[in-house]
Amino acid sequence: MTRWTNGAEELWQQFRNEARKRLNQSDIDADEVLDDLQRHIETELNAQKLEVVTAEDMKKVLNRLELPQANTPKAPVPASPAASSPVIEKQKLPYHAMLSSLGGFYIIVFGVLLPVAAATFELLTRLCSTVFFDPLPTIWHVGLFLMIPVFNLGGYCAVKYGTKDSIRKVGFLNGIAIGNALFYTLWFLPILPFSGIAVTFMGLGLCGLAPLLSFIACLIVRKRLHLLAAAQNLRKVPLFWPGFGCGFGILLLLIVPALFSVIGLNMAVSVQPAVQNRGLWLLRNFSSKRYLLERCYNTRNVKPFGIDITGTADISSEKIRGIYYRVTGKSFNTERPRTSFLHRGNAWIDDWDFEQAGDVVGGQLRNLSLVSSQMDANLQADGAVGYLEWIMVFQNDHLWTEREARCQVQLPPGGVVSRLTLWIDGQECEAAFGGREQTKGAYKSVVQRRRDPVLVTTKGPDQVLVQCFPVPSNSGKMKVRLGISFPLDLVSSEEALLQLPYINERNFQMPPTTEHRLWIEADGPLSAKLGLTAESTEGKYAIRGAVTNAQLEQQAASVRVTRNPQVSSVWAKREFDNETVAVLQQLHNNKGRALIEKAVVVVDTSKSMASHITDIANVITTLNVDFNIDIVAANDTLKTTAFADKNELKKLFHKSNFKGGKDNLPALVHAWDIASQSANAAVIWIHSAQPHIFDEVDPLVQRWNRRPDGPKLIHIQTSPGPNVVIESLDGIQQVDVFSRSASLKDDLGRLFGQLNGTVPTYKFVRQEILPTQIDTSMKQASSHIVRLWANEKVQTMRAKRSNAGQSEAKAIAVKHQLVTPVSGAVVLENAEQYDQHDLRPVDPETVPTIPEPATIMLLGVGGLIAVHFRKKTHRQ
Amino acid sequence: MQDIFDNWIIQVRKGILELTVLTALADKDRYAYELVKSITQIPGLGISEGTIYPLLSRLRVQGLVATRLEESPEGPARKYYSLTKEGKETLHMMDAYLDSILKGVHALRNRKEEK
Repeated sequence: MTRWTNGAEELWQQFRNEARKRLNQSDIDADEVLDDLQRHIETELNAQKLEVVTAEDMKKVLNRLELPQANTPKAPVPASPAASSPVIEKQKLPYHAMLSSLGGFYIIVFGVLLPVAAATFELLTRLCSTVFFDPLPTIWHVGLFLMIPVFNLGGYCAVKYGTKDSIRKVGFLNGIAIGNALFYTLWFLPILPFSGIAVTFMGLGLCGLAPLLSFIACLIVRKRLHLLAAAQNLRKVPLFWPGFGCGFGILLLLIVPALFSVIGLNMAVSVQPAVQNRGLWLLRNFSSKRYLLERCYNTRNVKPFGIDITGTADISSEKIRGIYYRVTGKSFNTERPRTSFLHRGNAWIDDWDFEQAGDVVGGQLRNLSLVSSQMDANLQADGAVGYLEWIMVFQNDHLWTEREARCQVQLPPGGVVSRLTLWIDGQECEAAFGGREQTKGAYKSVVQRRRDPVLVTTKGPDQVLVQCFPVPSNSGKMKVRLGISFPLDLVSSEEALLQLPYINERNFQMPPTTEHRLWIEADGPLSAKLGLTAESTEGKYAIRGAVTNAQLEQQAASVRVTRNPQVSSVWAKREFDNETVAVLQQLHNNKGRALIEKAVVVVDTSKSMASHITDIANVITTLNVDFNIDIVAANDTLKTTAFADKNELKKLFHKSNFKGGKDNLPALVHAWDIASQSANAAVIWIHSAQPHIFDEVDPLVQRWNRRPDGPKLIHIQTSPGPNVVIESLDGIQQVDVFSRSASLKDDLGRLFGQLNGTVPTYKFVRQEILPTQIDTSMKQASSHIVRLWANEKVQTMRAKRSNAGQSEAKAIAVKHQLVTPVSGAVVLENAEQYDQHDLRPVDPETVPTIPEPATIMLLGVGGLIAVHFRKKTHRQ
Repeated sequence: MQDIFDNWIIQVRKGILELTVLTALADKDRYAYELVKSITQIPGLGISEGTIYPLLSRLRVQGLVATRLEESPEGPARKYYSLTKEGKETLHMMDAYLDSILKGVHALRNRKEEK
């Protein structure tokens, strides 16, 4: 510790007082300065390692220190660089000369003109998008890319002509341009070699080099901006990193979904389930749904020259469509990629119908739409039978490409197509009914020659595929009529129900404003919750009006008709050339005993089921039935719970994430195995649309083939759309659809009630009788009952799986003019085409009509009587 | 003649003083004693220690430098000075301004020599 002598202390105090006097005359903090000075002296004396500081020592230090001067000049107060700069005056700068050199030329040519030319070329031709990848997929990409030339030009002008703007602003914008250009340079890196080779050897491909060349131009602009900054007394151009971050970061954010889509796609097609699930997770949460949809439609990244930098080109569109379903929970053809100037895709691919004359509906086509839809139906309440004609008019607004209209029609449960008409040159042409393959072959052969056919074949139980070609281009129209014979579903002995047919899947457009005109007549009072107008005159009841497609697609879109509960048996007949077929229909009902011992409920956990799950849980947990229930969640991992444990059930549904679309097939196989352990069990499958299956359906089919009387499968669909699982189970008699008539909650209650025997189940039994056995005291019903009987017989014969059975089934179907799994209906253009395929169009006199022939006759007789009485009255 | 030169030197010294202090702090933070010593040792600058401390106080008040005290193993606590953001910007402006002036002056000389 250094000790100061009194003399040294005295000297310091004198110095201190004098210094304070001086400092007090200024605005300087005297205490601070004096403290600093004391610390300085102490440090200095300490450095001399003196044990005692004498007055002499202090004097030496203070002499060197000198008294502080308060009149030191004030430092300039910091302000904005531009404002504080005396140099920013409009004056010529010495670096102007540099811009007139090669650098300036480069900036204009490669930093401004080339990027503009490259963007314009790509937008007009979509060459890069077709061959490699789409560098301008959105309007945001276009805008950000065009910032490069705009900001380069701005930077160039700022340096050349001086700028009134802040150098901060110019620096920021240049940062954005550099960020954008660097991003595009990195993006184009994989194709730079191709561009280099093309430029070197062919003089083409400069557009591929545009990002790199414009990036260099951005850097040159930056260098010149440094000069401008120096002139404004700044060491460097400010705000580079914020600008760079904006330019690069925004593009990065824009590309992330597409990037994740490509990565997710590659993972989702992996053979390893764990990788596959991770890929699906990535796609569900972060992918670009538009990218996936475009891949489903083949409008993106189809590489005509086989160049693919994403590694996904070899994934088939069919696989991608399946992945799209698992990601979104929707069938890809429920929508179509937006078309705009940017998203016009590859015109030749976009106009190509890959599924033409195939067996699937496929993707929606541009410019093809349903422009008119009309349904006329006749219901016979007591016979619980009806006939509906659906006339559809398709219009093709494509300028030169003829189109095939395809749709999958969901028929009323138990329904069968019994008439098909095509209008050719204004004339109604009836179809020929023949074997399924025979009619398909005729259709395909005629489609190849681009003539006028229409084909209807079954596509699973209660579903038909309608194909008509060609819908002429340039607003040409094609009009077809589908006649459907169907049984009515008995809700009670007094009320029968028609579940209206609807389009399950289609390749044409249906704007939300599309309406279906309905006119339904019956011999009993009609009602419907569809906003239709009810009428009644002289024992005839009608209901008519227009319904939207959304209304029609509702699972409970139905019309109810009141019937006489006393009528339990009716008969019907059809006259053929050389025979009469008579059928007796009897109504059976079951009440009072449970139909099953066990039910295994399979609940689909796809996205669209989320809104139904509370209803399902409420129904199941409040059931009072005499049979056991197990629940299987059709999740990514199978989980089963017993009905008794409500908490487990809640947990089961809670753990199901209800994201995307789920593959229900493994759950159905699992449920079948559980159900098969009981002698009399049913699998109840509550599900949304199932447009794809991911494994072969064979394990399930095998189970029913080996055990034809195995568990019954009753399926309830909660939303419209194709169901390929059920399509694949066509012909298995244990598979049954539950006819929807109300809300899901009410329908499930009715189903479980019927299975438990607490709600009556009505079933019609139809059997052929000899015409001589007809009991004329019974009511005669429509001849459609004969068609329904024939349809059932075809199913029975087909189930025998023998060649004889198949032949007999086909013969029955053709004779009764029905579209069944073994037969189809096709309209060809002329007799030569029919002859060529050994087909005969049906006699127009034998087809069902609306009004039915009997009704026409009655109306005719009624009319004659009315005229007779009118004349008589007039004479009197 | 000498009077004119002496007066000019005083003006230059006064003018360059803040730049000198800020430049001394540009590369690293320095404690007061070290800072003052490094400045006073610049040949020709002719500035005493007692002159620098009031200047440092003023620069701190103006927000161009910031101070902090740290314990020293060998003597009294050290008062460290560092440049603030404003101090750095001011230093850059001063640098650029001085460079610009000197370049202009040198350009005049070069032009004269070319003639």
